[in-house]
Amino acid sequence: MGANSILEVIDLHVGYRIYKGFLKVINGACITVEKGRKIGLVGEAGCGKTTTVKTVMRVLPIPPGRVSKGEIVFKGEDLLSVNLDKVKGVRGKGLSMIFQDPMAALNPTFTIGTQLIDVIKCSKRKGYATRNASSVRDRAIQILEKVAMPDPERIMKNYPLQLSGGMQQRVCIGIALVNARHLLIADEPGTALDVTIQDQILRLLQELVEEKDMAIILITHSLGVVREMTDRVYVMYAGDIVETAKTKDLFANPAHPYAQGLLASIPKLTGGGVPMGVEGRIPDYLNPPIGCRFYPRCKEAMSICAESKPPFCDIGDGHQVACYLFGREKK
Amino acid sequence: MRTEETLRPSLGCRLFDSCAKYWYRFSSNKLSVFGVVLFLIIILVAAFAPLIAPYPGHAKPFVDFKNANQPPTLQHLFGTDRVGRDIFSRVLFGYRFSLLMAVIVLGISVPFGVTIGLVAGYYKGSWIDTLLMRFTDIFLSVPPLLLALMITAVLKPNLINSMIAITAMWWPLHARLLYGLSSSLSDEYFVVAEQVSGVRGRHILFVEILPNCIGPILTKITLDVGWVILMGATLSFVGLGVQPPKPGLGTMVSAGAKDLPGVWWATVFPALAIVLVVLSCNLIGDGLHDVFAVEEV
Amino acid sequence: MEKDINTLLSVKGLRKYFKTPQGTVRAVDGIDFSIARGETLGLVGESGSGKSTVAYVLVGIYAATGGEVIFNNGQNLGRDFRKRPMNLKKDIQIVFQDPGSSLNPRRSIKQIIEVMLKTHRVVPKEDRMSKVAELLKRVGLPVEYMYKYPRSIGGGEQQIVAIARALATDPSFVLLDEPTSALDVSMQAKVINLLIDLQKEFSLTYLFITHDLSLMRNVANRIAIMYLGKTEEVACAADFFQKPLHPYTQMLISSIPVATEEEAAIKPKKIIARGEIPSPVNLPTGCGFHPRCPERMDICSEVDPEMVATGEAHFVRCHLYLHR
Repeated sequence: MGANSILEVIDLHVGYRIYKGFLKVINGACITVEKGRKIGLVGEAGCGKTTTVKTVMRVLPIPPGRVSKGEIVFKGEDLLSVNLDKVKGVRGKGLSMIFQDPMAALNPTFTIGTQLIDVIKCSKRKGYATRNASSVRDRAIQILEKVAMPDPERIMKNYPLQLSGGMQQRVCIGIALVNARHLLIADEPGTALDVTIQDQILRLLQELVEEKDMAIILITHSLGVVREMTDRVYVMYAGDIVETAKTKDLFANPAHPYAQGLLASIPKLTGGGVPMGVEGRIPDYLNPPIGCRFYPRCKEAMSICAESKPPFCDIGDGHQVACYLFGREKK
Repeated sequence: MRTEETLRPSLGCRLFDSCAKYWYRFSSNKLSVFGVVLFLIIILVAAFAPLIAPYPGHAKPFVDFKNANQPPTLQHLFGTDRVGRDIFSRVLFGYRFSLLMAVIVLGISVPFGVTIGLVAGYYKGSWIDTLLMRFTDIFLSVPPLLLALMITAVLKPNLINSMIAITAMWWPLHARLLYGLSSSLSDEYFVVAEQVSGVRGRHILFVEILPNCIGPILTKITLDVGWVILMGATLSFVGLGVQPPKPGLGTMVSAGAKDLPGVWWATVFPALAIVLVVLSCNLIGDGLHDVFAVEEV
Repeated sequence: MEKDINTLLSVKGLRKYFKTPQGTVRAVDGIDFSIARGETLGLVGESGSGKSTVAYVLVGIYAATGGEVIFNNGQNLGRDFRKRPMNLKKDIQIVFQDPGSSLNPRRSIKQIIEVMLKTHRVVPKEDRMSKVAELLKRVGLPVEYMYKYPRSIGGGEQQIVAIARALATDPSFVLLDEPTSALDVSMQAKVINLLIDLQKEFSLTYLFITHDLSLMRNVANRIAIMYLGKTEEVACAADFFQKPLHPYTQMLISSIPVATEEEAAIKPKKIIARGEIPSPVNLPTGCGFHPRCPERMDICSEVDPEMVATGEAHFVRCHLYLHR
């Protein structure tokens, strides 16, 4: 494990139990997040991105979810082997998450002030959880100022429904920032918002992350956001990490056929029509393909792809791809 | 037969698949499974009462003063009452009245209440809504027991009239439930899409909206069975339901109450019988609620 | 007013106001545009701009509060579905944003499409099943899907079913309200290409609403951008992106995250997006955009500008171009 790693997900296998059987969703995912780095996690809907981060945060509902194998090492500790109480301590100390729908993440029956103060009072950070009500309140206002909220005093008294989507999301970021020191996970933070507001939110995240030297995992299905916001990208397909590279390397030379297809299917501002996406659908998790899960949709499929899962090969400068097209002699 | 028709999965196949899915969710709640078992036993004993009851004749007019007020023994599992009738047999027959009442009351009040609520919710805000829901409110504004008492006071006190009374107080509850469901479902895009395409209101109400309400309706019906039985027993207790010498459960509790605490078995066993059936219905209702509340993975 | 055989829809001064306890919400406040047969008009705007309301008025979910909407050279679209003739309801269809809630989860796909065929008597009863099969084939779905339920298929395919349903009545005008916003990139490509093919095959006219400008660039022939219930700029797609005139248009285009260098090169200079869209009950005086506008002048807070033509079919509503 690198000395610089904040989070390492090692060979994670996660599934869900349903009445028909067991859905084997995550199939051996490996992710490494280094201190202060901005990581993007991309993939189509249903590929397991949210499942992975929920497992990291230990908020995955355990029946029906089940972690069958793997380790999640956060600052040296395996999050999966500790019991849930201890995990709350970890979450409070350095790991935090923001969700896609800010309206659903805030309690509509409490004011913003109440919700912020609750989080601060429960925080494990030095000097935060005091009995002094006014210093807690001051801290809350400081946080609202940090996330560029206009008129924080008034916002403290408002209810979530009185705020717009962009402001709600900023409050959620503020709440996450109370505790986030080492790692912030953002699950599609701008998707529910307009593009100008999304732009503001993402720039805010960028500033805050750089200021605190905090690592961030940004989940999104927008490749444009990934290109502008991240240093390294992990491409996920049907529960497998299929490629990872520095952002500019991935966009310049996507290696995995799926990544190539994904990049080719975005409509461009320069025109040229909407290119055809990748043919086919994600596999049925009840009976996933034995070898490479992308095999049924891959135009470059070979017979070995159906037999066993391709291992990661290094193709230079931190660019890794899980595909038999690389690292094997071409027949 | 055209190719398209051969693709249709058989009805048996589809039913089996749905049942498997619902049973899987339901059976994860052990108490609810217990409730189902208990309720099934009650139905069976009620159905086969003439065969199971050791003294089936005691459910009809019968006296045997020599054996009156006997405590529970092996010959009389629940003891005998003040005129010598076997309480156990009467309880088994008593279940018949209770279940019959539940079936008839719910069989009338549910379709009526559901239709009213469904239509009123769809036309929310219009004169139809006002007319239907204010009519419903009239029934809801009278305290239920008082309403039942009023009706049975006007008509003769017997089983049928008590069923009429309970039906009258029951349908507004379903109307209220459906009003809420129907008005919120009417805003869903699949309803709007059909409205703007000119699909008729009747179709939308009964074919599009109603099937989406089945979950809450079924859950409420299972809980209602218990409550209707309890309400029937209450009416019988105050003398307005099943008339003696018929073996209504509430009637038996009432008759036996005069002899407490000495002859406790005449009250306690019929009361326990009521508790058992209400409990089983509540347990089933809890489980059903979980079945319909679970989201698809 | 001369009748132009090529214009399918002509909108003049359309207004839609809602009365709420907080005041009157002017969701649509006087917009003008027209759509030619076979064309795709794109409608762009942020939430609160009124773009969905426009679609809902056109399809008949709401009745217009004011203005004139003429369809197909003669028919008035001002009234809602309760008062519209059946042929209008057959001819104008809509595809909604969220496929999950636009299909009844308790009905099979065959039943969902069939009800449209039945309502408008598109084919005789015996032929309905084959017509459903034909529609499914045309949109690229396997015929077995007839007996499936919406929950068992993915979001993209649900949306394709919604499109098949819209096509069932053989409409001439289809409103697409953010049809791919809830879908990911690969499904989006599939759905958009299907829509383009269908447009060519069935000579459909589209009003395409989305907030995704990169998508709009590749789908629409002409684009209108809305802000607070009014159209701010209307132009053909190429001009809209290469020569955006209105500051709001420029702000919007500069905020789009793009994935390639060439796209980054053609974006207008980055205008830091400031502020939020104001509450529709408390509209700013004068030009609605002035509180956020980087080019604001004194007159902007007093007088609401009129729409003017600045070139070949390029219209803009802004004081910067009014006094040339």
